[in-house]
Amino acid sequence: MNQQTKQNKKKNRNRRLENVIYEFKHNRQAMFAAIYLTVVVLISLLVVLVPGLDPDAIDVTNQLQPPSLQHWFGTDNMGRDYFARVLYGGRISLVVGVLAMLTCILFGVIVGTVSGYFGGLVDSILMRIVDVFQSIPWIIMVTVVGIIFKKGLFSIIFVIGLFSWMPIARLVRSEVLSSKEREYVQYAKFIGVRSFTVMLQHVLPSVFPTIITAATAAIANAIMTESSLSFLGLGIQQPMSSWGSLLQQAQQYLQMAPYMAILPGILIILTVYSFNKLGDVLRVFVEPRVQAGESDG
Amino acid sequence: MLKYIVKRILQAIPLLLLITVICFTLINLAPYDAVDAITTPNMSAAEIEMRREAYGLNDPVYVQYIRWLNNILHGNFGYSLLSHTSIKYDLMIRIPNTAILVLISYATAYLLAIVLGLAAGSTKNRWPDKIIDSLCSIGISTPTFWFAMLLIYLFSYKLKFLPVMGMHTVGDDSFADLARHFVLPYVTLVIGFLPDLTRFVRGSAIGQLKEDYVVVQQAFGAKKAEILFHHVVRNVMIPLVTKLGMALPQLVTGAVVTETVFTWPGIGNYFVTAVKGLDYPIVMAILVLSSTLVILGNLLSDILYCIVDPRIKSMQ
Repeated sequence: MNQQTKQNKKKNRNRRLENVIYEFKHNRQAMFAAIYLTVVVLISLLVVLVPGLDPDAIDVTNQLQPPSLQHWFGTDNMGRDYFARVLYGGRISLVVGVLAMLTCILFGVIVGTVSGYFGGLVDSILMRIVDVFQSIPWIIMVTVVGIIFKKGLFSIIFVIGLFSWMPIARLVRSEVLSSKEREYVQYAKFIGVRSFTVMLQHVLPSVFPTIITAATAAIANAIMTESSLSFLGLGIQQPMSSWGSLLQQAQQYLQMAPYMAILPGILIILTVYSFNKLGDVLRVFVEPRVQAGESDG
Repeated sequence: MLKYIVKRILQAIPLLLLITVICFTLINLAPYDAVDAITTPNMSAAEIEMRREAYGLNDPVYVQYIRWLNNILHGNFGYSLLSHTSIKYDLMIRIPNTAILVLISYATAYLLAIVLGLAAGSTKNRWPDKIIDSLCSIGISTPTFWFAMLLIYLFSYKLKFLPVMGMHTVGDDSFADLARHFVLPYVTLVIGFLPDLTRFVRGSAIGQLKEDYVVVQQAFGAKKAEILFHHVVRNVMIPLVTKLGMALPQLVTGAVVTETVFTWPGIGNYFVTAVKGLDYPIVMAILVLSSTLVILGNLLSDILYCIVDPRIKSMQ
């Protein structure tokens, strides 16, 4: 095999990926979203390595100082450097977003796959459960379950994940319904491969692109949910802080220190916007109908 | 059509029962003793035990469930753990406050969304669409409470123009005072509802403009505005009507965050205060109320759909 065919083979394999790269290059908003998210994630990962940036260092002589050279984003009501607090808050917001996304993808994919693959009674029961979960307003449900669990980072992640998996389950179910009719799946079933193996190795891979796009939107939703909960005082508790809980504090000092409210808010908007945009771009390659511009919602 | 409606109502009943079972389970899971609501701290253990027996708290769970369900059906939601006031009475004061705020905001957003969504849908990929669609993307990513804080800072603190919180200034029950308190939560909610609805209208308008009947009208030489307002609007309205039904639960829970920011004395505010004070009976009452409204709302939206869409009627 010569060099040329090797390269061609590689190219063919990555057609989908190349399409995504093309879309990013030609869609300025998507480009912005990708760059912004990379920067935010890198900062969140590396911020602990920066010396002298302590979000918890209290300095009572410097309360509620407006932004200056020394404190880029000013200081809060206890004289803590707000720049450091916003960066560390972003860490928590992103961790909650990503882990809650994983939780809800896990629930959604399991329920959706099982329901779609087995059909019949299992399907009816699982879909009724989805109906019930969906019929309780999330803000009510999340707070009610939040009361029962002990407060903490992981209970928030779990609770958000537990109440956002239903749309993903429906989505995965409908994909599984069509993919289980494919010949290779039928064949695997026919030669007696165990159901679990068929689902894992033959059905799930074809659903994978859908899961990826649902996942990016799920991160955006989880970050929004977390910030609302924290803002209501029901989410992240002191001394930990996320962008949402920073905004909760900022509300008390809104008149004296409006800059405390502006920054975390803008960061939430940009982050949620970017994840949504990313989801939109990825969707183009999952649903050809969207690419043709037929369904824009 | 009547058959379909009856069928849908019959389907909703088991779902409603299931919801009440879940709510009741959650109540029993919650770490509190129901007897606390009817005792005072200075009662002796024997007295408390007597009360417990008298109120049937020692009965088997299913007996308690049936009694609880019966109470709920009679509008008897029990008493607050903290203030010992009747929850039914509290709700009757607060629901109208939330309902008026949400109703007017939703109606405004609904009308605006139709206009903006049609404008965007009919100019797909040109500048009016691009502007409206980008604003919607940003709007969807904006936390409502953050937008509310900006409004408060600008109009209340900087311009000293509008009040920050509540529904009335103490001792002033005039309409003008109410209106001044109303503006900021109203604007916040309209902006909160708008992006989602606009995108919905836009998507549906784009879909309709591809339909054959539009091509036929174009072939007959109909003007663009004529097609849009005579034919497309009607078809866009069909799915939009169903949104009305689904918005029913918003009358109770649609403004939790906004009410909290502006301390508007509605259900949302009541709920958040109850959650913070671990006042379980209130939380559970609102849980039952809001999930019931969701099911009723879905039912309503199906029935509305059936009424406005002639194709469904002919199918039956």
